[in-house]
Amino acid sequence: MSEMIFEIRDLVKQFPALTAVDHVSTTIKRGEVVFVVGPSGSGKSTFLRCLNMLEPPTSGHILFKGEDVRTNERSLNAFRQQVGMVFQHFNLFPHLTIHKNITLAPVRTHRLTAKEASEKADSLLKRIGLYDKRDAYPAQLSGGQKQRIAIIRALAMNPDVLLFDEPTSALDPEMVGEVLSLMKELAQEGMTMVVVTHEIGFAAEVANRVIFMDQGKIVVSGTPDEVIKNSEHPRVRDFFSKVL
Amino acid sequence: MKRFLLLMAALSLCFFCGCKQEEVKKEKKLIMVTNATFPPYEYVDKGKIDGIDPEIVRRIAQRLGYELEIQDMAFDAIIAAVQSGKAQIAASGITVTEDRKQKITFTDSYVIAAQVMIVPENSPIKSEKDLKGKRIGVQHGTTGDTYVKENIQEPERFQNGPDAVSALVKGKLDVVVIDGEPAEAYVSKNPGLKILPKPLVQEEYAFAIGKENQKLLNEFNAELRKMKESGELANIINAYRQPRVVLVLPEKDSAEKKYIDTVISRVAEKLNFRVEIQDGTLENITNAAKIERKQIVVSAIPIREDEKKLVPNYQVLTVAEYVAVVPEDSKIKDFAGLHGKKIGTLKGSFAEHYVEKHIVPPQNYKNAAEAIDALVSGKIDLAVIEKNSALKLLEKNQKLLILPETFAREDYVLACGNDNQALLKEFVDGVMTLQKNGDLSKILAEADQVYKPTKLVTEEKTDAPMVSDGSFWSGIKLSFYNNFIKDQRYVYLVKGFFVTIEITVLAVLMGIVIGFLVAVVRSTADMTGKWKLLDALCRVYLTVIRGTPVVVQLLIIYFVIFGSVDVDKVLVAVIAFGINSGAYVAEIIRGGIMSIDKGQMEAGRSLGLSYGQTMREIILPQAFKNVLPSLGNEFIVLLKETSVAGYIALQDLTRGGDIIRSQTYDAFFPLIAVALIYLVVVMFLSWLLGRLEKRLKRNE
Repeated sequence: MSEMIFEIRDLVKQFPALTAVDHVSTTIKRGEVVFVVGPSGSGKSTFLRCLNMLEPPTSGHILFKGEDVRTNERSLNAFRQQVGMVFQHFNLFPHLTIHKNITLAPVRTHRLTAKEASEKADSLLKRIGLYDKRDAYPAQLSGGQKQRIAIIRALAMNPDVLLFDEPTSALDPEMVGEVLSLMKELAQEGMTMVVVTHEIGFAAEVANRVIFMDQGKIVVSGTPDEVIKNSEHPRVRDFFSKVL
Repeated sequence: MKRFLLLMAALSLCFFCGCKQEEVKKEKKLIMVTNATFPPYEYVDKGKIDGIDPEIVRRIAQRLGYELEIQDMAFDAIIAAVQSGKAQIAASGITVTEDRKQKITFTDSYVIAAQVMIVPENSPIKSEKDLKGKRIGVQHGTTGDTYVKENIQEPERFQNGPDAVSALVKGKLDVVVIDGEPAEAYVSKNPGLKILPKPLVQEEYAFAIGKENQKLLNEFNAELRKMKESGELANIINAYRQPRVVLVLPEKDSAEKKYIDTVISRVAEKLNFRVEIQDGTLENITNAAKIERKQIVVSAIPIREDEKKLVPNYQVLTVAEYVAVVPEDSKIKDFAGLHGKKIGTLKGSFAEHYVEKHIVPPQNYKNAAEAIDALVSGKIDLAVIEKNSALKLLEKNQKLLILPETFAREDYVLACGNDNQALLKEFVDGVMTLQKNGDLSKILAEADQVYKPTKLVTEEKTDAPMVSDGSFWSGIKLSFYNNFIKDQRYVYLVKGFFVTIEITVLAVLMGIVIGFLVAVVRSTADMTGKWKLLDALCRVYLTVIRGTPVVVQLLIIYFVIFGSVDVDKVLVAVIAFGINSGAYVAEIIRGGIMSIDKGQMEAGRSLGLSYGQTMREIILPQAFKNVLPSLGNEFIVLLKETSVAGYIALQDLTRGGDIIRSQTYDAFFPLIAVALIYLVVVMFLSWLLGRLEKRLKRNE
């Protein structure tokens, strides 16, 4: 039995007009690659954002490595350092160079010294073949490049888990591949990942487990085969028949 | 226990004594407040406060060993200033009234001014109650004028006392209400008139001292008593009441200047005027004529035609006419082609300076007779001498004749304030009398002799005041010269410029600090819902500062917040403009923060950076870059807004221009110069901001 990264109990997130996440309970184990799929507005992104407290939950508990994630600022910052996040719109810092984008957080949070962070950034950049963009600014990069930088920016913190919030939705089709292949690499290396995506084919290929959400609830959860291809649930079958 | 109490008593006594000593030290400085617009009691003369009151207090303070500081303020404020202890004494021709006694104590009075009624011996008017419906004459603008108008009826106003009194003598008036002192003189000169025993209005002037300051009151009363007994008080008052001639002379020392000084001083002496000499500028003439004390101006410098309207009650007084004397058979019939001719004048005379300046260096003679002799013997072609002496000399010498045209006039420009027109007339009449009885000729002749025969240096011409020859360009040049070069007036602009820059730079820094803090508080409250109380405070600050004019804020900070503290005015301005600018900067920066995509904050926080770190490292740098144009604009606005600093009498750039304008009465150059300087600074700032923006844009 591998280590438990996230244990989510009865998670509820209410917005004034709707309940985005409605009593969700599940677990994420170390090394697991979990894909969260579902129709638009099903609450999957909100669920993901609750995991690192970007959306403070209305009720329920989130346990990270067995400890309740409190909203105390200091412990919250320490917790987030261990949970990387990749956004749909990359959210690189436009006023900083690529290198500085990557090293800023590890150095400021004292996870690495300036030298270590710099070396780490360089090796990550080399790994994804963007070392020559080291001193460029985000505006000079293509969408795919930006998203890959965003991924290694999160990786530079040595997180226990990476959260992906629709990482390819804002990309031109020809750039989707490079991002997905990097994600696949990470998955194969054993990185714990929670991915919200519409790339069902990719999910089928990479995921250990797929969660299907609808109206804030988990409808089905299981292996890709179980959920995507052989679900008994009409709502799920209906969805996949449309997207595949 | 007893011992302990004793010890405490001893300690507190020591402490008390310590305080006492300190107090004495402080008391050595005496602050006097006055409203210097009441000549001859107090007025501003050449930037200094002068007059009967300041002079008396100055002398007493000196004797009592006080260091005196005189402050000029509004009349309504001086009693309050003494009452509140901001000043120790108020001396401002203050009339003793019961109302005022409630607030302060008065010293013994030092002047009793009364308005009395002059009536014919057999008049039915016995007292004030008989005045109604009678023809009442007053001197325009006096207390009597005001009193009669307010309490009885509209009086008939005369420019001066003698006119009113002669109207009374001729039966055109029933009564004259006039100042007590001159009334005595009028009555003594006009038999058949009398002064009614009870004055119509009586005023006592005294100094005001704070009620608790018994010590100072006693000291002052003692000194006042001594001054009264010794006659010193009367002397001071008389000296200030004596009419004064302000003699405006050319600025460079010259024989001509000495000559004029001698002539006018002697004339003034005969007419019982005091003389004060000032440098020859138009500004001195106009300023001296503005001072409300008994004073007229005599100017030896020429006034251009276009400048005449600036000089109040302009009048030309011809002290002497100079004529040209030639032999009967001379070919010289007029003044054309005098170059190359030998001209004789008197040493040091007005004519000598005139000929020297306009024609050729003349031959000089000790007196008119010698000049005539030289003319007769053929050593000179013509002699220029004063008309009266010429006429006298020609009675004896029939072979000479006087050319019909006057050769030159020794003219002086007279000017005075509207209240002093009678005084001016008195002076002119006096000069006429001196002319008639021959005293003036004597004075002129004596003045000629004052000249020491050191050769006049011709460089005088280059130093002569610049005069326009009437063409457009030379008018511009003259105006430029007057506004900037003359008296180093450009210094006002230079100093003002630095004050403006100093205020602006410091206020900008303060504004940025305040603005950043407020913006961060406001947006943090918006984004996280924390710091509610601070946020509310910031909102109040923004509402108040943005809802009131900056001038009002400046005045409040100066007069209310720092009202009782002596604080550097530049500091006051920096604080006022800094606080003001902070409000605008805050909203600009808040807008900048709000304009940053919220994904940036999320990205920062998701990487484990704290709110503060994300703000500092990620949000603010981007926000700053985005708002740089607006910030730049705010600073440009601030630079120009500091032009209201003049409201608290700070001499900034705008004020510098105002000062020049008030001296030259010329609006064009000072205003254009001020505008240009602002423009250049703003253009420089814009250029600087442009470069900064470009640098920050490089990474996009």
